Amino acid sequence: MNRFLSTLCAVMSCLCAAAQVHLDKPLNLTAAQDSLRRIEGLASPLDATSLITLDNAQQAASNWYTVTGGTTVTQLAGSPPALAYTNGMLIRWIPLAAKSGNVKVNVDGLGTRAVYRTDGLPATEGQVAVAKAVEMIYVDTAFFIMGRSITDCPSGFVRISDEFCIQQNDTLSVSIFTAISHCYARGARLCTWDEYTMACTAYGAQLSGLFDDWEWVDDTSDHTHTADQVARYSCNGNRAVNAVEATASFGVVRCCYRIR
Amino acid sequence: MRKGALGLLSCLLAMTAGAQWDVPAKVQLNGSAPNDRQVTGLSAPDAPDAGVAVASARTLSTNYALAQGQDVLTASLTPSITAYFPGLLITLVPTQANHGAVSLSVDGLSALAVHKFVSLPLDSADLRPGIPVTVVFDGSAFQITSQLEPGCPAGTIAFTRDACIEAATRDSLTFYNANLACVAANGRLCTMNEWTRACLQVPGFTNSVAAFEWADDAANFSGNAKVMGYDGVSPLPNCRSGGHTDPFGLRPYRCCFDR
Repeated sequence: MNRFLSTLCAVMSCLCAAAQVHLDKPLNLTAAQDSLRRIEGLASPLDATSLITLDNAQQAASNWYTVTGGTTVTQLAGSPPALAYTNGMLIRWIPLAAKSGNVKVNVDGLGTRAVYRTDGLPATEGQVAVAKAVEMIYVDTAFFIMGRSITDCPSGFVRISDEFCIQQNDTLSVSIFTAISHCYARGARLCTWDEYTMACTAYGAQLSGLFDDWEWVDDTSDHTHTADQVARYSCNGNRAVNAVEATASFGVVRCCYRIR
Repeated sequence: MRKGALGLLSCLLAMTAGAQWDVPAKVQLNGSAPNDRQVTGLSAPDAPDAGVAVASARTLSTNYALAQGQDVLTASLTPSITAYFPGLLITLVPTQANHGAVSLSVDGLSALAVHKFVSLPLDSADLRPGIPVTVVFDGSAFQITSQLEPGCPAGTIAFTRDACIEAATRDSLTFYNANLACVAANGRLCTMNEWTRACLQVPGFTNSVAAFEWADDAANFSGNAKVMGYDGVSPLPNCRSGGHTDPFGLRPYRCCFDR
């Protein structure tokens, strides 16, 4: 029978050069010996329905994706590309650039999808860091990050202690409410007064934009419906400003990030 | 040409009862170009010795299952397995939050314990509906290998990676008694920062705001305490509006809990 098959292959090679063998029924390998129940010579898969090789399986190549671009939405490409989002789809990738705000991806051009942590919160910049592998699984409408959250500062933050990091540069000029939202959207929060004072005093040389404007902190202010700002001219300066949406009551933002 | 090739196959390969092509020898693909050394068109595998296509490998379709039940979980794989083997990895999507220690039975096999941190039983709500976990069979039990984020107490909402806030207000108390009540509940009065963020982020949060609520920290006024969440003019719930008032007055409040 082996000779029959060899003959068959030879004949088919002649007959079907540059063509394909089409089978409309399952192919069943029936040889008694293990060594004869194999398909060998497979190239890397062409599409999502292609049989994978041992090499492909060992490298988990079907699950490996590369970043091809995107600013607010990270574009990811697999080889071969997926045909659709499917429950259980597991993707591993390495971010190339820091993102702001909630993490979103577009896999193989199939459409934008949100990325969540395993507690159901949106993944933010702090949890998807440059050069750190991300493993995520698709369920129903979104991806969930399965690996551990990072335990270091996000990019653009300076490590102050084992407990927290502070943003290297200040940004925006906004109300206390927008400042709060801005930080939380990055997996961070406004610094408390003592955190800010420690960072400003001991690590001021590593920070940018110090003393160029009043900066919001999250701490007590003994005045009518106000919140605190600090460090306009020195680390120790502070004042109370109205907690309202008005330009005259704006301050710049420098977030703190809890490490864990 | 294709028809001719199939004709030859029909003659030379055994076809069992019209159901499948039996090949009694190794299949060697020897096309010179990679595109000629492909087996394509594979559907999802239906037996342990079936070939696997990219799509199945990528979606782990043979290792993905919904977990039915609360603490005694059952799951079915496709195709089903007949025994647990060390290294078996399953992506499990719970349909309910668990209440405590969890066991898992796959495809009718014996129920085995599910552990976190190698050998610890699960705590309540470690499993959450719709949020996947990966478990691996270690030879005697299932270990969760994916990240379990610290949970939130019942009745609270995870609004940041650091804290949870109560979904509903508590009955009105003075500012001081509200603080004491939260500490007694192993929490603390939410800060203005936390309250604001939860109000802005959690969908429908303002539906649970019916009056000014006590908030800790910012903007106390000589002898007064901070309240948040209401526009006294409209009057309507407003995440960006607050004030200060006599701390001995009675106000609703919410406790926050560290994660």
